[in-house]
Amino acid sequence: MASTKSEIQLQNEAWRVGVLYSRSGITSVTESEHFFGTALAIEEINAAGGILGRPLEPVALDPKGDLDEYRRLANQLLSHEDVNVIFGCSTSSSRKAVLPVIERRNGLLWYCSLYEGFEYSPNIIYTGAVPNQNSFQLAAYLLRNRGKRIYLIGSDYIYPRESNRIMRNIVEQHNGEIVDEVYLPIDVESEAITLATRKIKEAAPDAVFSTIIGRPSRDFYRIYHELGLDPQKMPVASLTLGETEMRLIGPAICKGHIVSATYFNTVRTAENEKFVTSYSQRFGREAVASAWGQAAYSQVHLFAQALERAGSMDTQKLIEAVLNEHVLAPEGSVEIDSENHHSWLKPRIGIACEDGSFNIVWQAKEPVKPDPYLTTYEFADFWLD
Amino acid sequence: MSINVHRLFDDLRHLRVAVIHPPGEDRDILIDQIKRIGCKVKWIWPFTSAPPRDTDVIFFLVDRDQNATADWCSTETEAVLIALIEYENPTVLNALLETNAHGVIAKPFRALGILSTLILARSSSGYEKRLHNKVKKLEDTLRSRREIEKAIGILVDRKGVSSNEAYEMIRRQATSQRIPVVQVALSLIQATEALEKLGLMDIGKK
Repeated sequence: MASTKSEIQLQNEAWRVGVLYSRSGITSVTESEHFFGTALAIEEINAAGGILGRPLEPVALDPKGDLDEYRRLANQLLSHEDVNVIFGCSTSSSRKAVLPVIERRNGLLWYCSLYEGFEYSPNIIYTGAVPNQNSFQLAAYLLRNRGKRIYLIGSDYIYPRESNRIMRNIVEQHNGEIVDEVYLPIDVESEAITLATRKIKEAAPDAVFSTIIGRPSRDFYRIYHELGLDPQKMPVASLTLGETEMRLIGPAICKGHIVSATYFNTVRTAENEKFVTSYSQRFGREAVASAWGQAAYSQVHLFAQALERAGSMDTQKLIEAVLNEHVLAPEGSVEIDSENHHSWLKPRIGIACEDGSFNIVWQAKEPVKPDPYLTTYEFADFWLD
Repeated sequence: MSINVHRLFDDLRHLRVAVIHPPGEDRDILIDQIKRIGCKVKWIWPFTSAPPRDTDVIFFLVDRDQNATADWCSTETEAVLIALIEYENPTVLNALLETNAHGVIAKPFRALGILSTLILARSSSGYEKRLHNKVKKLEDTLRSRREIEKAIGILVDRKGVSSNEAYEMIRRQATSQRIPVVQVALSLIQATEALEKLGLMDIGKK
């Protein structure tokens, strides 16, 4: 009889999942959006009856932007909280910090942020864009529409360095010129940003490619405006600027800046209309949907479908299941590539409008296969079609 | 166990290893395993401006921001260098290639694989050093040969002897003075050049 009882218990038990995003620290704004997107999806799934009749039960911990905390808390989730699946991390540094723990415990991390590629772990599903889905298109757009003199500025860690390496390769291959390549400390103060921005002003490039992240990134856009630099004439191009950050900077001063991303909240799909509405209904009129919230939201729905198919939280079973799924996300159809566990996504180029949204000036016809190791890295034929 | 394997493990017992890596779990996994293998370990952080002394093997972090890794990691060191990396993208691989490492271990670290990397790095670094020495010796020999031939030429030219006789003269001098043949040749060349400069080159010529 004992076994029957535990079976019943099991049937009523919730599926526990870990949520590991920083609500403070320099990436607090974008990671909070990851958190909101995750929460919204979990609530929707539970409101619709859960998965196989059992609700999702999030265990959310806040690493506060500290890499050691990411690792400690990932370990806590996997060792003490009876969790095997974690939605979390937003930078390559934090992903690398938890990777050893996730692999050792054979957990499954869902990582939804864009990053610089060159990684594969059997214990990670990567749902964000890699350079062949955003950097290539941005380089092509800038060279074709803005000019050949590009200035590179970024936070000093691996994602900016690697993104700039790719940008430099493409620009130089097309007879363009990298005017300068500058790195600022990851938690840089505004005085140093001002100095760096003055140098950009002196150099007067055709466009600036910025991979500054988090709070310093918002400071940079503000200082750019204060120093009288006009985005219409000399735009800052980025892979990360979202609608929420733009609202905090001040949409009026962002008009004309360029972003290459796989989602903007102006994407026209039925799923997106629903998502944008539910997002602000749930988190207040001040909250706007952006790529950060959307990516987190979509991957939870993708996970839910995989869990429904697998009927188990086992890492291998979930991966097997997710490779057979595709989700109709706000950004469009998303599926995981069976070779490299990254996502097929649709690249888009958006230009910031003064109302705080993005005007999508170009998008790929079809989702693009993720190529994290740039195996089909062809400089010659990368132009937008 | 074959003699080779005996020697290999004997060697490990006396190996002095330094680990240059920030504190934390990664460092502990590495250091614990190196201790298990039987080596003496010394932990260093941050990088020192000169390589640690009395050390046979240095495990060092190729820093993700590429600022921390010391310059000496890119030059010839007494110790065998093994790089520790966190990412495998071109930026980091490039930084790795700039080092003088003979082995690399990528994170996440685990006990398995550290010993084999250590052994292979030691062996290939030793082989490389032997080859270097051999090349250096060959270069020296080549240079000596050129000098000796030049000296023979001078003697043939000025003393009217055959080249075999000229070489025999130089060799006899070297034996009696107990100095290398090349040194005699060099003295002869220098002396001739000095005379030439003074415009006395014809003196003694037949």
